[in-house]
Amino acid sequence: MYDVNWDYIQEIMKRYVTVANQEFGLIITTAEQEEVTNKILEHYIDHCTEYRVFVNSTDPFKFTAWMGLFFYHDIKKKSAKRQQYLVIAVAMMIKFLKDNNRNIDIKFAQKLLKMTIYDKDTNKDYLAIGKNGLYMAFRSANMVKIDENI
Amino acid sequence: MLEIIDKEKISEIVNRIENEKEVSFITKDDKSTYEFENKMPEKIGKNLVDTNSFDNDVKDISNIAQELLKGI
Repeated sequence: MYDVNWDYIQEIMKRYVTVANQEFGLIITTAEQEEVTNKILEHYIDHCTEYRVFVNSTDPFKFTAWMGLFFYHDIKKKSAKRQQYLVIAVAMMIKFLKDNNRNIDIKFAQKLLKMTIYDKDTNKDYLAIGKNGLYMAFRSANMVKIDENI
Repeated sequence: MLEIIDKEKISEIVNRIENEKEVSFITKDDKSTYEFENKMPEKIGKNLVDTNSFDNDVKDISNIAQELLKGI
């Protein structure tokens, strides 16, 4: 009945895994894809429950931001190239913005990346934004409208 | 050929979490007043399921990722 959502999730994952492999030589097994999907969807449902969000379709920004963070902080935390897992997720969200006729300055996106990495990798997590901040930054960029009355 | 998680597995994961947490991932009631806030943006969704766009998407995402890496 809601198959289109599984299509979206599969297509987001397919793009992520393909870029990781073709551009950076990173291998993400189907078991790891399942593990990250579990983590994302558990977080997704907790988020929706906590904030009383009614979901009728997959949010590409939630799914992608949290995917990048779960690979970076959990599933691939021992990888020497783990930063690239987060970079790919941010690149995908910039691509989503472009698909929706929006854009973000690359230097600002780099700052968002740095502020996300600060979350658990430094003793300065009070300067970080975390997985929810990363998602909200891109989601907000996608939602912004010009108010003609101002 | 890269192996990608299949849709049945995604559906299985959702069903398991929904049962455990006793909540639905997708709201099955008519909550149309909330649609704007939560739905997949039309242009992004259309592009994701368009099989012709996949190769270009991978190329674009790769290029953006390389740009990002230069500054971090």
